[in-house]
Amino acid sequence: MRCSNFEKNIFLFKEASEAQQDALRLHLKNCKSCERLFQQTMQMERLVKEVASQKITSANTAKLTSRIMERIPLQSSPGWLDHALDLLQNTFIKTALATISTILLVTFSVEFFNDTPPAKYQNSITSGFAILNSTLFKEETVRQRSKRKFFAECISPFKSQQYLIDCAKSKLK
Amino acid sequence: MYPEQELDLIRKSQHGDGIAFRLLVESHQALAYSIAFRFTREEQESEDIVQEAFVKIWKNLSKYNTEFRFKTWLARIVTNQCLDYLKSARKKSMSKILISEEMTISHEHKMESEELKTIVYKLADQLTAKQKTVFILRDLEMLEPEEVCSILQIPDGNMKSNLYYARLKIKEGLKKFYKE
Repeated sequence: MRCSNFEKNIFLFKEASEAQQDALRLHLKNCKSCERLFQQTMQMERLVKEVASQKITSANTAKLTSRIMERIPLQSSPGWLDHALDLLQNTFIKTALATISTILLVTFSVEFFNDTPPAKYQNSITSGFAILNSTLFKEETVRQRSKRKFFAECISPFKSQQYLIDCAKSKLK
Repeated sequence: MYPEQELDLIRKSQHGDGIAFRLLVESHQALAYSIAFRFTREEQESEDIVQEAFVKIWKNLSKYNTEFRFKTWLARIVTNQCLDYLKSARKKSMSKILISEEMTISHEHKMESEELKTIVYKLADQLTAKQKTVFILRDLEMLEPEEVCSILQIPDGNMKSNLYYARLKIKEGLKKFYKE
């Protein structure tokens, strides 16, 4: 292989695969110019590493944190409305809402324009409940009527309250 | 910070918990500032970039993708802001003036740590935006190649190609300091 084929891997030695590194090492043993380039690249790497090792920190770390946090409350925290609006941006939710709206609209329209009288009872359970309810209602009405009839003689707008009580007592006896 | 703890803080922050967000800021501020300073080398500019990056993160917390580390997301936002900063023509011309001045100084004096730093940064300024970004993230911030690809959203081959040209130019610039 030619030297030019190895040049890139000399500069990208750390990023090269193990196989590429082995091939390069083998080549360097037999090629002085590539070996020289490799040594220079390693020196360059050491110099750059020296620069990289100098930690960079802000002189006002705490102040910077405070400055950032001061900006945060001003940008009101994302509330329920923001979340709701975010949700509405979702295509799936948009489609789901559109589908539900269409279904509701169709159901409403069908019910609204349906002229046929409602079926009395859809099944035996509902009809049974209806019959039971109406029977109970009838019985209650009859009982109320008989009660009113029983005390009808006592009730008079021209008599006093005491008369009503005495009359009811005598009727009950 | 463990990934689980980090995720817990992010979830709390998503619900408007300022204390949780403060903890996230405190634990990642150094990385953000370091990246910003290596790009701009200006304290005030770097602080502004870091501040804007965290405000942007707060606003977009609901969009956070748990597939990526918070560190990667933050580094991406900071890097993009730094690249916007570098686009400014005024800043570019200022850097060029500084290069010529400081390169002359380095010829005359023994190279020391501070000088080396200045030269490396000035050489980095001569790189293209992509090459400089890859060089800063990989060689100065010493991030893993996968992280660099994830931050810049570029394929491995693209990252390596930019890194190769960046190292080639940096090597040429430091030639006079190599020992035979």
